[in-house]
Amino acid sequence: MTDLQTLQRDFWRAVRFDPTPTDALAHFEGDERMSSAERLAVYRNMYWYRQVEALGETFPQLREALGGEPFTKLACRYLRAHPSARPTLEHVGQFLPAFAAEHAPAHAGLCRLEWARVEALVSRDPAQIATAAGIDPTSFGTSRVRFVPSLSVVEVDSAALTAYDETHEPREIYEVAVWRRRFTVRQLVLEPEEAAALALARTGEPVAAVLASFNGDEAGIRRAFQMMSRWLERQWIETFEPIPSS
Amino acid sequence: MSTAGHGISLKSSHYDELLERGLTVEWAEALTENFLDRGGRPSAVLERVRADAQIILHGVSMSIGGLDPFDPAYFRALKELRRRIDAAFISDHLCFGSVGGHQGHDLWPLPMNEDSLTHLVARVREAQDRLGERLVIENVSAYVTYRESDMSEPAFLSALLEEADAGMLLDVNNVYVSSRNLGFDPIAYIDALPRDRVRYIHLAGHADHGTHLVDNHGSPVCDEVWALYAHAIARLGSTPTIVEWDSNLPSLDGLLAESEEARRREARALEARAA
Repeated sequence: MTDLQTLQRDFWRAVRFDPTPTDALAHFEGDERMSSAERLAVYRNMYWYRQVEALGETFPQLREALGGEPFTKLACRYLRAHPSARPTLEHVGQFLPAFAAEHAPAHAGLCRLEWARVEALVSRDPAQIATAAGIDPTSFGTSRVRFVPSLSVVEVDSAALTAYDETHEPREIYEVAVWRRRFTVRQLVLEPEEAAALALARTGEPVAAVLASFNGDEAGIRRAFQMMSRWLERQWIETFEPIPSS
Repeated sequence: MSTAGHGISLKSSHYDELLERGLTVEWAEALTENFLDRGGRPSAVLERVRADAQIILHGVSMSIGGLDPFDPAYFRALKELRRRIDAAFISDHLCFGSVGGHQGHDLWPLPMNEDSLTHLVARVREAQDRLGERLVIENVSAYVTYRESDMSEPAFLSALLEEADAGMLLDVNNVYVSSRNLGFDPIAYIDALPRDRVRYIHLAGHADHGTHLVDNHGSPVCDEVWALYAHAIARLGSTPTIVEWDSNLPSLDGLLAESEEARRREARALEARAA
């Protein structure tokens, strides 16, 4: 009797490869209505169709930019290289941004942006949202910012922003903040000064160091505090937490 | 916990409406993977719906019949979700869906023989130990059988449910689809199932491809499946019933109307049974 491991491995080969390898076909029954190969093809078609569709739903702007058939070809090449390893269908696309950087570089930025949006959409809810009124002025400068789980920053090019109808000044690279506010995913092109401060804050540097990353003149200090105020308004901040002493 | 009543599966295109008006049925089935470890709208919908209905967590990726080790993170998240929403049942499928760490995102058939049964019993027990509760296992639609199978599916399922002390989700549409694709008597299938193990029922539509039927949950329940449902109710008595849709989705009211149709047909079947 063929062991279960061989049967399941050969079923997998039947689903992944067209035509089904002959030795794998031998485990399955067919009849006059449908051969075993035709029966296995039902599963194979569902496997590829479902996952290509899932990629199309996860990356709608990429599908639009590439066109249906080129997108399907890219998706199939990607799925051959990266079979899904997570139980959730949207995670089928988790390595597509890196794959696109190699195989469709003109669309890699758009791909990164769409993936960041998906991650923001499915991320956990924040435990709380910090408010200006809740800030303890005695520890503000020495605390660090804990951001909401949905917030990420992604580097994109002009084409990615155009796909989302984002107006933008000419630049080579744009850093875009992506987050979810209640149920809606939002994105915002960051000015370089704010992007640098946000990167610093996300590494866990104290608030004082984040604010000091701006010019030390009066205008710089004003901009730094206005930025912190905007982070609170956008609901990016879960809490200000004390930095444990080492 | 109620052991009767009717309900629907939760679909993302109905989320806004569900948040606004809730549900008017006794049961709501949530596709587990759409709610694990995530916040936002799905989480809010589940919180809202549980005020009106009992929740069932229905998974598609446990790969109960698979050979890959269970993913501890999946079970931790499932257990946490089950606790948070006080789910009445956790169900998944009699199938495998992953090989060598790769997910198929599908419900692949198992050979029905002693080797397979021994493996399944151990896996269901392990899953139940991890969850701290009984699993409910659904029969899947099948398009092919293994030459290595030497047991009927009802015999296989009955032995599995008994030995692993698990419940069954009877998908009446799947029985019908498989009976047409594989050539068996669907009435005899239902009659051979262990009556006391069935926890709830699925109803759905399928697509007719001429040579075979495909379980696509994309059309209303057909007459043959309604007749089979009436037969199942006559045998099992009143049983919670969920109407499932996944494609060509009707409006929320359309879904609820089909659930009400199931309620009427169940009542008629119970009357006929009592007569």
